[in-house]
Amino acid sequence: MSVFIAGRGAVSAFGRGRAALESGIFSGARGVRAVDRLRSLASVTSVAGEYAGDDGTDVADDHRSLVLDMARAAAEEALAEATHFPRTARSTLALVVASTKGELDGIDELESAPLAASGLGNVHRFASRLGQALEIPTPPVAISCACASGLAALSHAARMIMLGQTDHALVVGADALTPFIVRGFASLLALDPEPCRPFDRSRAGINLGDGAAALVLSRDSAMSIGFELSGWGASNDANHLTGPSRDGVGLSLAIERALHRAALAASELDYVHLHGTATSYNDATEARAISHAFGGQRTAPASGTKAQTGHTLGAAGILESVIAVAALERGVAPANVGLRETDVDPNLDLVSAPRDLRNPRHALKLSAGFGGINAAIVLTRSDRTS
Amino acid sequence: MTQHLRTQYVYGVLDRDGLRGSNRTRLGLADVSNDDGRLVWKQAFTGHYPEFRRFDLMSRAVTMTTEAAGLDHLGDDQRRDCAILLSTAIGCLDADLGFQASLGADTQTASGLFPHTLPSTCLSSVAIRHRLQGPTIAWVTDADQELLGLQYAADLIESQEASSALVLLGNALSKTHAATVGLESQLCVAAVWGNATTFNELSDVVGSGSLLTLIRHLDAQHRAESC
Repeated sequence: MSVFIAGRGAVSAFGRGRAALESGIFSGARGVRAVDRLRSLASVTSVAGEYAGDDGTDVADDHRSLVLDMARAAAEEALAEATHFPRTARSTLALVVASTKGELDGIDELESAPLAASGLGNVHRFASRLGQALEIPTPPVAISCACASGLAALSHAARMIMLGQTDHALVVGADALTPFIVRGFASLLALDPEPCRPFDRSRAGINLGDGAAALVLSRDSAMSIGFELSGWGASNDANHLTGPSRDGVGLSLAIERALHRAALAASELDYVHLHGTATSYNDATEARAISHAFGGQRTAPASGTKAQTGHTLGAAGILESVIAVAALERGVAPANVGLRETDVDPNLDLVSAPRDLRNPRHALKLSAGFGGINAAIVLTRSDRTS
Repeated sequence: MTQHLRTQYVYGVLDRDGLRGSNRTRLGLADVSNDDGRLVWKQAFTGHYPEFRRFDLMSRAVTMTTEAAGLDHLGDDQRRDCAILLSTAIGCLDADLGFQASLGADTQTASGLFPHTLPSTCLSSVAIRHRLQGPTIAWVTDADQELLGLQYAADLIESQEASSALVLLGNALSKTHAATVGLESQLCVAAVWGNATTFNELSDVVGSGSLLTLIRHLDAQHRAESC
């Protein structure tokens, strides 16, 4: 039973649309830059991957409208690419939404805001509003699994298709930065106030970013754009509330489970898109986990892109899956921007400059989040393209 | 993946009537909380649990409920494959309000509370205590979608991603924050552990009721057996 990818969409610090994202990523540009909308937080972090709109496009200045606009734009782009899926068929579409906080309005103005109509950080409320905006009548599935939300949502949708619960699913991830989120990560001393450097010896924390991304999944091969979600797996470290297990065993377990479902050996992977947050422990643990999954051998070429987009939290897994599919499509692994000298497991084949991949077929995408949650998916170029 | 053919389940529940579960815990709410309503471990269970004091309300509630259910009988293979699932209608509103309040100019940001502003974080408290390493997923649902947790558990087992599942339904809001948002204080957390066979049998018993209905059915059944 295959789960085909039928459409892709993205909104990021590089602007609206997948083309802007891919252009920025594969050119090695940084969408992370001096904060503007969040300039009141400049003392906390001087840079972020803010979505600033495109030429002539106004960007909503309130959080609620911003996150909904981004999510809707990404979803509409993905549905537009799914050309075999007419608007009239939206009633048959399952909607799976990933976010860490959805819409946060109301949290800081409890006395003045109408409670019932406020987002209150409730992801189901956000998912319902998105469903209404997209005219998708089915009740949404709202997943909130910290920074692994995106891959958890893709896995959920793939499982629904595999079990025959739906034929098609629209999976959307979205989060927009707010003082609540930025100051939260700052309080954990997890932010690098300067442009971050994942996997570099000098890495000092994450940059955050706005982001939304969407994938249309389908059981119908005629709808395929030439790629499949061929495997997925998840695990819990059962080790620490916020930090990764230092030995990487938990993440390695998620990789094993995803590869098992895809019926692949690690050696058959052509590319790994990393979680790569640029925190000291995450990057070291992730490298160890991948090395372990490859049996202590040299891994497939690997890169992460959070130095370019910022960490887009609940959107990250889907946004970065869009990038991983693009890497397979172009036959090029994007570079690890900001990487000069690493100190992580030497078996991890970190790509320091864009590298050609020879007829790549399988890519692994990883995510991890607070709560010890690990997730992995395998993306595969299909044998046939519609 | 280990296949479990033996039918078994455990359950726990913490609500305004108190804490009870399969491990024969039977305590009133006043017995498990201190004067200001904060859940306290040592009044419910024997044994020191130093990490518990760092937990937020949801983490305390799910940990206590799971403890009342009792997972001691699980073997290592079962723990490795056991999924942990949470469905919640109010998410982590209690932690959100607490963290937001700490952002005031004259207060210190509650860094310890920030991770709990994600609904899935409370599940790690259970995962760590019981060494559960299966898929861990939190869904935010409508209040009338409580059964979804069971359906998703059955789906994970059917798709061979887990051999068993700890299914949690959690809605917790402290009195302080309930007053702030003009809602009723809530403490309603339930847990059930079982395998696919168990879930199928239980759905036959309780029909299409909610997860809470299922828990209450198990509770009544257990009480009757204990008499």
